[in-house]
Amino acid sequence: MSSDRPRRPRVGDDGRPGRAGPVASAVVAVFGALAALLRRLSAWITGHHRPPSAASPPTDDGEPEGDGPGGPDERDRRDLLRAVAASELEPVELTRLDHGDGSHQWLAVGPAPTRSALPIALLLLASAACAVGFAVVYAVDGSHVLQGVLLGGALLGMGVSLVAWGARLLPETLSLERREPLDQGQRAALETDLSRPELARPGRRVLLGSLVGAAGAFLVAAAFPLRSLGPKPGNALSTTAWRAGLRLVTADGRPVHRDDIPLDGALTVFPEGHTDAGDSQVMLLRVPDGLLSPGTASGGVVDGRVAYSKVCTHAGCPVAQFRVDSRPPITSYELLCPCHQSLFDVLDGARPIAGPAASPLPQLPLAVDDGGYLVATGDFPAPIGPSYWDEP
Amino acid sequence: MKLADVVRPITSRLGGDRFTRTTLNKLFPGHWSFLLGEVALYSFLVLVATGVYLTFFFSPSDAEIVYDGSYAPLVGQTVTEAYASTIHLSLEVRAGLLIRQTHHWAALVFIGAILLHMARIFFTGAFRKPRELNWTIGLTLLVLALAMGFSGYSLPGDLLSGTGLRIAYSIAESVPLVGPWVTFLVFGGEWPVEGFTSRLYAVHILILPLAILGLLGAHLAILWRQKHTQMTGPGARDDNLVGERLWPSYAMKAGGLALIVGGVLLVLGGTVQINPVWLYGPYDASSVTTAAQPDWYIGFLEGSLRLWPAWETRIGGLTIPAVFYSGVVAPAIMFGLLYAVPALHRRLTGDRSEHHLAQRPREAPVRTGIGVAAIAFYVVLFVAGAQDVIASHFDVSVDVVRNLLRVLLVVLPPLAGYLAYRICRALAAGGAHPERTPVGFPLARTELGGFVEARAGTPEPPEPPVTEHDLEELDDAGVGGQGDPREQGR
Repeated sequence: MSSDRPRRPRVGDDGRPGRAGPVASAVVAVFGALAALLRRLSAWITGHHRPPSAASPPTDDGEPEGDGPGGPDERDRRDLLRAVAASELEPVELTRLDHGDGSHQWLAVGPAPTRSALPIALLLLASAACAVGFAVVYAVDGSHVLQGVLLGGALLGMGVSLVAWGARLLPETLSLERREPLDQGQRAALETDLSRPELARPGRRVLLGSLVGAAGAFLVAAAFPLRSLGPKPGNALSTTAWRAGLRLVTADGRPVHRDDIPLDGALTVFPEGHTDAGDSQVMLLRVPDGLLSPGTASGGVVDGRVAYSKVCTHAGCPVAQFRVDSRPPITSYELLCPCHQSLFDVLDGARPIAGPAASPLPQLPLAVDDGGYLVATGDFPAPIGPSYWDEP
Repeated sequence: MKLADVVRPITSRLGGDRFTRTTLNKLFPGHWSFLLGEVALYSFLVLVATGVYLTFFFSPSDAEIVYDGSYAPLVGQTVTEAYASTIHLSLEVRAGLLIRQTHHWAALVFIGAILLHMARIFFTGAFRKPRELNWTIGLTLLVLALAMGFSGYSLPGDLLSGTGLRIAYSIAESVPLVGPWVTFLVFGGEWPVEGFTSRLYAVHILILPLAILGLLGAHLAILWRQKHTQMTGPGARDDNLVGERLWPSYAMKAGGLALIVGGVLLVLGGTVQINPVWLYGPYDASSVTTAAQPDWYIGFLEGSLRLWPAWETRIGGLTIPAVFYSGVVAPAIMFGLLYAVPALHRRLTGDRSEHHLAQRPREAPVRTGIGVAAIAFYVVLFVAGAQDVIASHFDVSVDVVRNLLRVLLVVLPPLAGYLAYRICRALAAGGAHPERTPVGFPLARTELGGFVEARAGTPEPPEPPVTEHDLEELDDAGVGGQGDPREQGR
């Protein structure tokens, strides 16, 4: 833009029309191309090309109000003519349709199209062929892909035919009707009817109050059966099936020996006898013993075998991914929840280090029994899973 | 046979002549955006039709059985009856897979059409008086449709749907103080709850559809009573309605659209695989998949859960869980604001009058800007719902994607809103229309009668309105005399 040009008028500073800025122009161009494409598609089906509604609001050129030849009815007629002029409808007839109940419409009808009905008839035949084809494919237990294409094709063929029939074979029309005000202005009359003193009874207030009380009591009573929908939460959310001495078993009930888990390995375990307890699932991991933080090591660890609740403290998904990243400088051991990507540091008490989880995964205290099998020495020290407000 | 011979026997017995005539004469303004709601309506019809068919085969039972159907990889596994019956109706019942996939596709399109329809209503100001009630009903329909979708894809008892339910369970737990009680009453106990599928089934095929049907009826009845809005244009006024009469051509086009929607959904259901639950395996509380995504319309909530920082506060012995903010407060604010749109608009603009002319988005730049900002917010949340997929696709760390999206969630809405506001102002001032981009350069007449290039800033002459002269020309062409048009200039 050369510098000698005057400043582009800022929108709205003088009320005069300005020009669209470059960004607006780009948007306009993109939308224009898209709209033109859509319009061409629809024109292909409907057989006409309707120009968009004009940007300028209708101008009220001060026509006379009131009844008579110059009155509102004349205005309606002219409005319809305006709308017709802006459309591509070439009306051959403008009629006032009296509905006989005081309402009327103005109707502009275009010329009767002389297009051939043959393409539509052929399309309908094709649609019928699709329907028959579907029946055949169904009967011979053919593929569902073909079923969908044929049954959908039958509907599509009929649908496009109907649209084309309405748009290509019937005369185009445009109508105008008057919108009766929805607010009928009956406020005073309504108020009178609602509270006619001659139909009221003194002392209504007491009765009304009692009615509200009775209805309220009923609603409260009716809510009681809702209690049957579920048990009392009690301490179900803060405790699990883990008890001191319970052996760790796999999902199929096999006890886990201390040597069943290799270094850097992971195993999902349950308390013996409770393999279907969703809240008691545990990730048993084995890391080099010396790497565990002192707090973790003192929480019940057997030679680097450490166990954490598998229920994510964020939204309850299983924290199923154990990642050992041995890239320098340090080897990291992490548990990842695949649902919302919370990351927990295995070496440091499963402390959350990234993602939306805020609390660590509770650690299950472990020991070894006489046979070398891993056992728990108690329940988790904290409630497992997502938090709730009155969590202990 | 005349059509009246079919209709009259009914109307003459029900006194429905007048109503039928009013219906046939109803005017429909011709603008493509008015069809979005219709698409939603037709998708719902497809949902009902296909859904009824599915109920004949689906068994809403959590009882465990050993799978022995035709899908070899699962044979011998312990699965729920619900899961086994879903696979049975998909792989063994003829046309079952077509109907099930069409049902799922229809749900996706249903909610998409509702959202687009709602955006149209918002951006054209069609929620203003007297249509506030229908905005509220429509929004409630959206909420019900979301619940419908979620309850539907949770029914089969596959790994994905079970995980989704577990997350919903956790969100319910985070409701202040009554959370555990509400959760236990709604779900029936501690997770995983045996027998929850039959409860969910009642919600999905009875409670929600009835609610949707009732509200849909009210939505349409109110629309019928109040009539459509119409786009600004020549001849269109606040106290009239210009459009096409329902009968016959509009009815054919609308009926055709219904069939086209059904046809497209059936073709999608046949050709594009969706939710192949046999591949996911049965739900097991200790299993999960990576790159798990919910259906697209839950994506914003999923994104909210993923982006919210790990803020968990303990005040006076009470814990405020992180998912309370991201899973309860965030959607509550989003939908609360949407419900408040008509009231806020009335409050902020002081506009209490009736409106029947739909505005163009540029006519209300501030409102359009706010709407675009809201959409940007929604889109960032939606994208965040797939942050792990994006991270693995572009081979970057999830942390990077998460932090980038967190920044975008704060920065993008105001930016997008401001840009939309500026574009609206520029469009309103320039009078530019997407399809009427000016070609060439403006000219000005000199005093001597020659032409020069008009300098930038010189106002272009406004498009001439339809003049009396034009109207007279139309009159002369034989269109529309006051009396019988046939007598004029044929």
